[in-house]
Amino acid sequence: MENRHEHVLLMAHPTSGIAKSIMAGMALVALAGNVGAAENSGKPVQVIEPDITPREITQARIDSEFFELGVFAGVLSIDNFSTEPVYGVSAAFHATEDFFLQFNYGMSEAGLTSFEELGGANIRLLTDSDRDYTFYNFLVGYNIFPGEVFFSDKLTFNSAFYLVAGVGNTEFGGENNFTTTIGTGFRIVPLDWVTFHVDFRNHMFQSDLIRESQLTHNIQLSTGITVFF
Amino acid sequence: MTVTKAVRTTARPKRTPRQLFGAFAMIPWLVIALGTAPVRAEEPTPVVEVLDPFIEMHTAPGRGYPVFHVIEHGEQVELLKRKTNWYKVRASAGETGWTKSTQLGRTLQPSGLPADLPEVSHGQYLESSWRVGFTAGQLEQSPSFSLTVGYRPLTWLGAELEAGKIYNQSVTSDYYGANLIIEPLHRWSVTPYLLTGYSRFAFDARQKVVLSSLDDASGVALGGGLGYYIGRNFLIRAEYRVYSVSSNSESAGLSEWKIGMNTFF
Repeated sequence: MENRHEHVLLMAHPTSGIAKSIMAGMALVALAGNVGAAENSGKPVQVIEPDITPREITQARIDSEFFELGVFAGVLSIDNFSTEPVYGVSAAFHATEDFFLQFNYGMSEAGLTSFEELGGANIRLLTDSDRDYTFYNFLVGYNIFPGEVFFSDKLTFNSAFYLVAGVGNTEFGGENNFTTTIGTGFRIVPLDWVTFHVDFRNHMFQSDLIRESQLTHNIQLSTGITVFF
Repeated sequence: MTVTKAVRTTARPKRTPRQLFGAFAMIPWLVIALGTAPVRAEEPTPVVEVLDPFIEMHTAPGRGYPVFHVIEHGEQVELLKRKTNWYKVRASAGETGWTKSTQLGRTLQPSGLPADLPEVSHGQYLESSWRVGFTAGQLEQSPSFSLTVGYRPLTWLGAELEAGKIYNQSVTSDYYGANLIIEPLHRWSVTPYLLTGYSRFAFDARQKVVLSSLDDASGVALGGGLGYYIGRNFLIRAEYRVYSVSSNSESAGLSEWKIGMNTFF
């Protein structure tokens, strides 16, 4: 059944493009009028019934474990000074199976140089507050030898031997020093979310604190516990 | 529509910025966390159907760990957790193991739609991603390092905040800056980018050197570099920048090389 507008269109036999477009324009105007009329009468005009079933997209919250937070404690051999306890915190992000980024913050306190010990109580090269040794660094790590540890007949833990390298700051003797850190470590994973580490690190910086400027090697040997979440 | 195509066109993988903030918020509660870490929100674990002829289950999340079970085409898999690019899954028979994410990319949801684990070029998945990292470099003769936090609102444009230190022989400098990174090409794993930024420098004389006063300086940086993407969320970048630094009436041109490690989520 044709309505008024269709009737207009069906009756027309346009001979040129211009006529066609005029007709189309007229039809549109008429259609708009019709829609307006329909709105006025309160009935919606259903032109085409959509044949679409909406896609249901659900975002599953899969528990992921990328971050590792932990504490460490050990010994730090401060070049030209003594070997002292060191402790600190670490945070890591495991980007892939092979690579991770790690941030460390640690502190220690230097003892006496051999010169100070031999020279007696009157000779002090640094004040007590300048003996504080604090450092932080950003390291990139590579799990070079992933593997397993066969602890006993029934206990097997995942493990990895890894390399780290990076840069950071060491505040010692009242000075800030650009520090390059390289090291190795061994990680044992007793549970999916807990790990134990043993780390060996060399913190290197140029220092002229007590003698001519030289590259000092400050060796850290520490062990730590971290949790994944 | 082929399955591969469907996989490509589905939504981006979910990201975990919330977990990052959670990470920092949790630092003081570490001791408590040690006792309670595995507690998670109770939600039904997602289940997908395997499309490949089979997928392999490893004993641990790593390529070298032995395969002890396979899940065949058409079977259901429950996704339990994710660690780097590995998923811990449970087969319908009850075995639990680890599967590489690329294998799980070819699976179907119960609704028949492809599961959303797409393998796309990095430009697409980096949109609206966060990225953190650090750089090490050399400004003229002085070593430097910085920490960067960035956000990428568009596939080709990112913004980055940077805080770093420069170690000159007589002064150390703390600097803070903001950079815009333009990275329009994503076809290759090595991607060129352009960078422009503004930085402020504060100077601190080293203890043994006496200098009258050190005013702050500001600088405009222009640079470019190459990024190399390792896997889905690890980026190594090599960068060269030219700074125009001005303090009071003086200004100087400085150049800097940088190598950066970034990760994004």
